Amino acid sequence: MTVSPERDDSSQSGRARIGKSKMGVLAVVALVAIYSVSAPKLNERFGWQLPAIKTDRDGNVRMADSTPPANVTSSAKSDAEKKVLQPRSTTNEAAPTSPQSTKTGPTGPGPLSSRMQPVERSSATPTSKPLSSVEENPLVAESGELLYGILREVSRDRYLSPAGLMYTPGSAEGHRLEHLRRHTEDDVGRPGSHGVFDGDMAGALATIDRAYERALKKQKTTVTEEDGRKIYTVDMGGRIGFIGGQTGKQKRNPIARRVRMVIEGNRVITAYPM
Amino acid sequence: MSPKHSIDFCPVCGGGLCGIRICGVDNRSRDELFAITASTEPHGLIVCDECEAIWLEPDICTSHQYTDIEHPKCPICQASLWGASSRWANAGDIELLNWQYAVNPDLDVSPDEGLA
Repeated sequence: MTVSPERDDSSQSGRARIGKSKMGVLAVVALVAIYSVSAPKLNERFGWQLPAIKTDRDGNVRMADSTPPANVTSSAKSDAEKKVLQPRSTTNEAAPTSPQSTKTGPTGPGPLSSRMQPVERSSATPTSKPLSSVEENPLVAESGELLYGILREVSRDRYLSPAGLMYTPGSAEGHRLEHLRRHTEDDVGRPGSHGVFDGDMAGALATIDRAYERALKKQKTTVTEEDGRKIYTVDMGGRIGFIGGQTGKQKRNPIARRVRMVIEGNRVITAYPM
Repeated sequence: MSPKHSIDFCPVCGGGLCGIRICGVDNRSRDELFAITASTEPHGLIVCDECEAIWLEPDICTSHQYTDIEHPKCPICQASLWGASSRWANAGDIELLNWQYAVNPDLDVSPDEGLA
């Protein structure tokens, strides 16, 4: 049996096509493999947020969205965003920015600012009274919801996290959460280092909760204790923020992978990335 | 709000600035202030702006203390630590306290506001 020249040509071109497509598939697989291996390393090294490659239920390879901060679901984030409300009236002069400071994030007062006692005021006469009604404070109307999608108000101005940390009034800013807010944006004029959490308040709170859980399990944690206060330094194993401030700027804002927390009982005094 | 003038980084928490605060600058009468502090003049404190460790002298080698988390008070006059009776000290306040020698100018957040 002889093979016609036309048939031979077509089978040869078919084999060539198959060979090319095989080469193409191999090239794609190789690129995907290289990307999968190098993306996390690049993210960690440079603080990028390259999407991960994941396989869905049908076995299709897809690019995953940028990973949100741990333990913060999208619904939690949207709740958190809803909660960031501008107070209707406030005379609080806490936390004014220094002339040098360049804020990279939102600079307005936080949702608790309307509840905070006024501090750093030049006049001794109080100019605001505590807010007590729904009309005066929008947060009161939303009681029952979770602040920043994670914190439950257990009594007035006292918020409990899922891991059991309590955020209470106090600090120069009037509330520990408002102090924590300082660590959700850079303060380039601040001398030394200034740790900044990824993911705004919701991300910061979730990271601190994870750190606290690790600390309780003594995972990659060092702790010093004095007069009932514990200072935890927890290695989170990956990026949780970056180092800002003057020192951070000089070092091109290296990533932060540790959390330092100062805690008394279960009450948070401060927490920041380092 | 960061301190205007600090003496060092906090040896307790490592991340805070040991800033100079002046307390006793409210409208209390001199008699009232004297009754509490045995002085008619404002007094100074060193306070870490992160962990709120407090020193009574501008020397972090001396012993420090902590105040109540939710109701922080000045350990000298018991007024609110962050209330109207105190503030982060400016250059004039530091002169009044006579603590110029302790200031580390590298830690000033407002370098244009130099000490006299």
